[in-house]
Order: sequence, then structure tokens, then C-alpha cells
Amino acid sequence: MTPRELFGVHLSLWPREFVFQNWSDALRRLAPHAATSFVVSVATSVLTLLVTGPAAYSIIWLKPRGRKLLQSFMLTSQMLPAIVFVIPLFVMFSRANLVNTLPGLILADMTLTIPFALVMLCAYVREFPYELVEAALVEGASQWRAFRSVVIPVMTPGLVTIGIFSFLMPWGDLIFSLSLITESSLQPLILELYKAVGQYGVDWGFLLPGSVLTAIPAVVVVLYGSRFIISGFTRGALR
Amino acid sequence: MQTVTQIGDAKDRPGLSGPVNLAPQKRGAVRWQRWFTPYSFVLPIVLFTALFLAYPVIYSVALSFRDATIDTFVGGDMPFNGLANYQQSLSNSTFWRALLNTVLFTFFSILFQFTIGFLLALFFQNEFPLKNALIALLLVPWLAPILTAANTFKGLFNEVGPINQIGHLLGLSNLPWLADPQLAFIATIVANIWIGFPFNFILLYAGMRAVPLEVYEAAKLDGASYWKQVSHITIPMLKPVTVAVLMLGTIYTVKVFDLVWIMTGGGPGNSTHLLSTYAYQTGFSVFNFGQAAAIATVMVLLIVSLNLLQLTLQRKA
Amino acid sequence: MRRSWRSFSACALLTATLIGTTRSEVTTVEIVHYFNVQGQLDGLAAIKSDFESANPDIKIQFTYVPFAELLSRTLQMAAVHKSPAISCIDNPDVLRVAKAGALKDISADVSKFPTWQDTYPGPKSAVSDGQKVYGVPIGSNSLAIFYNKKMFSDASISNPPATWAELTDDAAKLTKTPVYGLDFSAVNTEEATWQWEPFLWSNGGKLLDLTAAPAKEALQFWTDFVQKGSVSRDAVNWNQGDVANQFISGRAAMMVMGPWMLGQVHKSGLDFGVSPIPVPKAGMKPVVPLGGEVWCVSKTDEKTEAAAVKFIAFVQDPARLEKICNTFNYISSVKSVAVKQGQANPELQPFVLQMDTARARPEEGGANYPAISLAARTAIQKALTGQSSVDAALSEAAEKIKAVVEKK
Repeated sequence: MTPRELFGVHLSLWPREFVFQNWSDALRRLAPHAATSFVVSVATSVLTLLVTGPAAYSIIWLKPRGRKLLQSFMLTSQMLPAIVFVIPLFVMFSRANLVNTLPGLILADMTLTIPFALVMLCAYVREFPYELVEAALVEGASQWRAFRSVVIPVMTPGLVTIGIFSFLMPWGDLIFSLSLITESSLQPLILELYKAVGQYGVDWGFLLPGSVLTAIPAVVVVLYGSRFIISGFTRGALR
Repeated sequence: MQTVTQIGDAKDRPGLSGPVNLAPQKRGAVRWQRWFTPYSFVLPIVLFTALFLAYPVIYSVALSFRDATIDTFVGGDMPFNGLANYQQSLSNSTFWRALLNTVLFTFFSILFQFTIGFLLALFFQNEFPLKNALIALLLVPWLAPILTAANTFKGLFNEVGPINQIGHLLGLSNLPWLADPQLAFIATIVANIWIGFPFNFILLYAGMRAVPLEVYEAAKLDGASYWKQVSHITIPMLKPVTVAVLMLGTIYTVKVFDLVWIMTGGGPGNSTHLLSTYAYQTGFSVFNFGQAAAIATVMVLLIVSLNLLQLTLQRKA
Repeated sequence: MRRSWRSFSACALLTATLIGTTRSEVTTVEIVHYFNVQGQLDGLAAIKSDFESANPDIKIQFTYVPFAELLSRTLQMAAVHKSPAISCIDNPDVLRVAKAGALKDISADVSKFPTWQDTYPGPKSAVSDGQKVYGVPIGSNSLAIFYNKKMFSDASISNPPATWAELTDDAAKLTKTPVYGLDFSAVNTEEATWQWEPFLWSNGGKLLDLTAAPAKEALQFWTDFVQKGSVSRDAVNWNQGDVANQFISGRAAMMVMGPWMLGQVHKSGLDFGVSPIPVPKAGMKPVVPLGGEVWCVSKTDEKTEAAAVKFIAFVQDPARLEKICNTFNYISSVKSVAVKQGQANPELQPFVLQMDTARARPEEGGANYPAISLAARTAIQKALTGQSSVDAALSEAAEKIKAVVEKK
């Protein structure tokens, strides 16, 4: 639909002329950036789980000292609006030459995902039956072994859910990409989409197809992941 | 019945019991390993927190006590000015309006988002064809870029937009949704509910899946009705997840920025400003970063108190 | 074996050093901007290739930053000493950024440009602070009335309105649900103040004196439109892009708009005309605000700064200037070029005529302009939505402005 039809006097939901051109243009513009978005989102998700998974387990069941402080700090840092993170991180990353790099963006996105993952995983982990670990320990396994072979399989549905969220958060993140990436070849999908909003008004012809295209991989990830969650649960934990 | 009071310790267990029958020479090594393991698990996250979370937080709070405007920021020396930024903000009527708006916005958004998410999660516990497709569809509001959602809602609430057109069919006259101070505020809340309910839905859904079926079956054998099962099994077992979802939901809602900024820009006439949009305007339209940091710190205090309130209510319940 | 390796590596090292040194002779000039229309981007690409072939030792790199982010990006980069060589800053912000110490004073270089003397006083004052000059305007634009010719003839209006009274009448005549007679932008950004300024200033009002009669009349003028229904209440939510959309899709008969929208309106095929901003009483001259971006040289290092100045001199060459301004839908800030543009294109003529009296926005308040604008547009919004009366809204704004100005 052309803008004329969108805003015209007779609003019609059914487009009068199917402008397929918009879709192919959008696809062409967005395709190069898909790889960047994927790399950043997958890396953020995997790293977040690696860092947060053992931490959540330990905090709830192994109880190291200082855990309360860590948890309250996580919550507090979540409470600051993102813009407040932008400037300090920008300054820090410039000095470390991490601006305009993907690792830099991944680290920045992790500041969004890690506190969230920790809070949620702690909640999920509390449902975990510790007897299973004790059984393994009695048989001579170390904590790490127990964690790998007992905890992770049972926690899988929770981990996958949080993993999916940790994938989605960087996928749609605008504020960090905006401040940290100016190199056009490194820009994630969302930045390319943001260009639709210019001083000339919103380029709906690009924004709408572009948004759908940008959302598709996210939807696919969720669909794929949710199947995993369901199969995990039907196994049943208390066997 | 478990009474979970806060995100913290698990129900008390005998702690690390460790292997019992071990040869003596291994015991020393095992003891050290037993002590260190919990810390090794949290080491990466502590490092990350110190570097990337602690520093920005401290920087921001420090900034709120300085006179940091466009001039001093680039130069680098931002003179300390004590509580001046806070005083300036607190004496500004827009600040109080934004504060009130933020509280109302958060309250109503969470109320509806959680309820809708909860009911949907319950509904989806059943199996039916196309279930996965429906779940994916329901996640679209949350998955679509906020950019798109905000602009779309802006168009929907247009004076001659679809919402008013539907209103016409129902016999209502044109409402100036985004031009009237009160209506604009309601419009932003509606948009936020639409965007936020999938978050609640999917997390509650996953939590509900973890409740073993045997418990429900036992209750059914005892003759419990559906709603009795929900209130006596589902809700209590979901307590930790509920607390987490509500807490995170509150935090995220207080921080909502893009949506309101794109839909109304805080207007008309400062009537839809949230603390987040007001802070942004102070920082990036007027370039008073020190004051913006002060507003952000107030936001933090607000969230902390809201969470404390929630927890106290939780404890009483 | 070892000996040949040694001599080989020695040669390689030597070659690498030679290549390295010759390579490092190339200076990269990074230019940060927010142009995102294909035509403009093509124009930029053309400039780049022309300049680079004329100056092989300078490489140009254009970096796009979204409109809203440009200013904060410039400041962020300046704070970490990684400024781009040139920033295309919107003219009301130039002095603000200069005051922060991010821009280089190029008065010495600029006085050598042939076009500098011929630059209109308005744009010149936007980039000058006393004797210091902080940038060269790329081009200028302002505001005028775009009107739908067909709707005018349907309503039997033969001429576009020239005075306030005519504007009120025409707007009322042309309003026929769902079409509004007039549209302007009163959104909560600089755009609202910008769109209101022609009316405020043409009436002799000043932003620094909002409680005086001319200012009240100007705001009342706007409020009346909304109250009568000639302007949609949603104007407080529309930026200029939205306003243009309304006009193009036939929901408004007239709009207050600038030349940068000409391309878009042409594309839609609408039959329209452009006329100067109506004045309060016949015989008065319209005073419009100046828009347009400025090539600003950031403080970096000598080599980069010199290369940047070379680039600016290149684009200011009168032969090229006209073409560039036409691509970007600017009126040139250089009088001779602007006059030529107006003669070539009647649609640009109203803008060219207004350039003589156009005023740079920071003339009122200098580096405080952003805060002043914020106070003004809050008043505009409050009055238009009926939250406050015109008098109350303006008094509130005047107080805020006083506080800001006195803080010096």
C-alpha cells in the first residue's frame, strides 16, 4: 500500500495495488544485515547462559557468601534506564577500542540479558529437586560433574526459555546498536529499519515489510524453541 | 506448603553433604574443592557485573551530583554541584507530573498484562491443534520492533484512524486520542499492554509446565474442581516465577521509553511524560546530563520502593 | 637458506614500510550526516567521487546517523576525542556545539572563499559568534504555504492567501470533513517552534518576550484555527513528515512546509502551488526562520582539519553549489546562486524572496536556544489542546525562559 492509501481519506484495509516492489526492496536492503544480527544475538544468548546458568544454580543451592549482594545489585542495575548505561559504556569501549566492533555490541547487550537471566533462572532453579544432585554426589561425582550431568538436563526447559529471551533482546535492541555501531557494514537489522524514520516522515513502504521480515527469524526461533520446552517438560522431573 | 518470601535462598536443605565414604587423603582436596566450587560457578558473572554493570551505575550516580551540561561534558571537567540537580528537578512541576504518570502507567500496565498473560498461560496448558502456531502469533506484539509497534499505534489512534472508525460503528464520535492529554495517556497504556502481555504469558506458561501432572491428578482424584486446582496448586507453585515476572515487569515498565517517546514525545503539553522520557528530554534535548542522571536515580529509587512494597504485600498474603 | 630468508624479509619489510608511508599520506575525512533520501545520497556519492578524483590524497567517508541522534553522537565523539572531521549540524545547534568546544573556528579560511561575502546575513549569523566562524551553511530552507490547486479552484478561491485574515477565511472555506483547511506541525520537538516562528516573527514578536502582545496574537492565531476546526487537533502529534503525508493524501488543503518536501509532493502527482507565508497585514514582510544544515569542522588534528576545509571550499564553488542545492532541495545561502535558483524554478521563488528577511533562530538566546524552544513549544501545545489559555501558557513559558537566560 502506498502512503496515500494508508492515510488517505477512504481508509481501506485491502490494498488497492499490491506493491510487491516494497517487499523485494526491503529484502534486498535488509539481507546483508541479517548475518550481523544473528551473530550478535546467538553469541549474546549462548554467553549469557554460560555465565548465568552455573551462577543461578550456585546461588540457590550452593550458597556462596555474598550472593544476596550480587542479586540485589543485579536488580538495581536493571532499574537504570538504558540511556544511562549508554554514555559510560561508550566512554569505556572507546578507550578499549571496542566501539564499532561486534564483541563490543555483544558485551553491551549482555548488560541487558544477564541480570534478567539471573533473576529468572534463580526462580526456575528453585523448583529443582536437589535430591538428584545429592544422589550423584554420593556416587562420587564432583559438583561440576553433577551440574553437567544432572542439573542441566532437568533445567533444560528453563534454560531454553531464557536462552530464547536472551536471543530476542539483542535482536530488537536499538539503543546500544545506535550508540556503538556506526560502521554501516556492521549494523544489525534493527538499525537499518530505524532508517525508515527520517526527517521526511516515516517511510512506511520500507518499515512495514521490513518489520515483518525482521520479525520472522525471531518467530522461527521461538517456534523451534517452544517445541523443545514442551518435550522437556513431558519427560517429567520426578522420575 | 512452601512459603517463599523473596528471591534468595532455597528452602532449607541440609546444605552440601558431599560424598561420605572417601579415603582420608582425598578429604583435604575435596574440602577445598567443596568450598571453592560455589564461587567458581559465580566467578564469571561477578567479573561481568563489576566491569559492565557496576561502573555505569556508579558513573551515573556520580554524574547526578555534577553540573554536566553540553559545555562541561565535552571539556571533561564537570564541577561538583551537590544536590542542585535534584533540587532543580524536584521544584519542576513537569517532574511531579512525570512521576505520577509513571506510577499510574506501571500499575495499570502490569495489572492488565499479568492478568491477560496468566489467563492465556492457563488456557494454553491444554493441547489442541495449531497450538504452537497460535503461541507464535501471540508473541508477535512482543517480537515486533517497538519502532514499528509505536508508529503503528500512533497511526491507529489517529483522529480518523481505525480505532475511531470502529468507534463510529459503535455509535461513538471521534475522540482526539493523541491530542487530548488524558486520552493520550490511556492510548500509551493500551499500546504498552499490547506489547507487554506476551512476556508475562510465555514466562508463566513455562513455569506452569514445570508443575508435575501427578499433583493435578492427585487433586482431581480428591474431587477438586478446575478453579480449585488452579488456586490451590498452580498459583502457589508459581509463586517464585510470579514474583520474578512481576518484579521484572515492574522494572521494565518503569523504564519504558521508546513507545511513549514515539507515540507522543511526552506531550501534548507534557501530559504523557514518564520519568524515562522526561530524563531523555533533559539529557538530549536540553543537554543537561547531570539533571538527567538525577532523574534516572530517582527512577531507581522509585523502582526499589515499588519492589519493596510488592514484597511486603507478598509476605502478608 | 637462512641468508636468503633474511634478505627476503628485509625486502618485505622495506616494501611494507614504503607502502605504509605512502598509504599514510591519505587523509580520511569522515563526514557525519542524516540525509537519507535516495536522491540526496546519490548527490553525496557524486560529490565524493568528484572530490576524490581532484584530490587523490584525501578520502571521503560519509557516515549516516539518524536525525535525532546526530547531535548527541557529535558530542559523544568529541568527549572521547574521536570527532569526525566534518559534522553536518542543523544550524540552530551550531553555536551550542561550538560553545562546548567541539568545533574549530574557521574564520580565517572562510574569508578566502569567494562566496562568503555574498552569503545572506541570516545564515551567516547562525554560524558566527562575533568574529569567529564555526561552519559554512550547506544551504538554507525556510517555510511557505503549499496549497492544493484543485481544492482552491473547487472552492472558487483564485489566489493563495497573503494576509492572516485571508488565511483564516480560506482555511475555513476549504474545511469540509474529512478535509482540513490547513495543517501545521505542533509536535513536541523543535519542529513546532520552527513552524510557529514565521507567524510570531512576522507579527513582530520575539521568543524572549512571550508575554508581549505580538506573541499573544500569534499564538491566538494558531489556537483559533484548531478551535474553529480548520486545523486538526492531531497537529500536536504530527511532525512535518506527517503533515506532508496529510497534504499529499488530500486530507489538508494547505500546509506550512519547506522546500525539502518538494520532491515528495511532486512524486505524488498532486497539483499544487507554493506561496509565501501570509503576513498579519498587507504590506508587511514575512519573517521566516532559517533552516538548513552546516558543514562544521570539528577540532581534530591539523591535517584532518586542513583536508576538511579543502572539502568545504570544493563544495562552495559557485559552479557546483547550485547543483548541490538543487539536489538537496536547498535554497543556496549564497545570494547570487539563490537568485538563479528562483529564476529557474518558480516553486522556489517564494523561498528565495523570503531569504532577505530570514532570521537565524539562535539570534534569540544563542546557545540557550534549545531550552527556549522547549519552553515555547510546551506553551504552544498547552494552548492548542486547551490545557491552558494562551495568556497562561505564554506566561509559564516566559518564566521558564527567564530562568534559563538568567542562569548565565
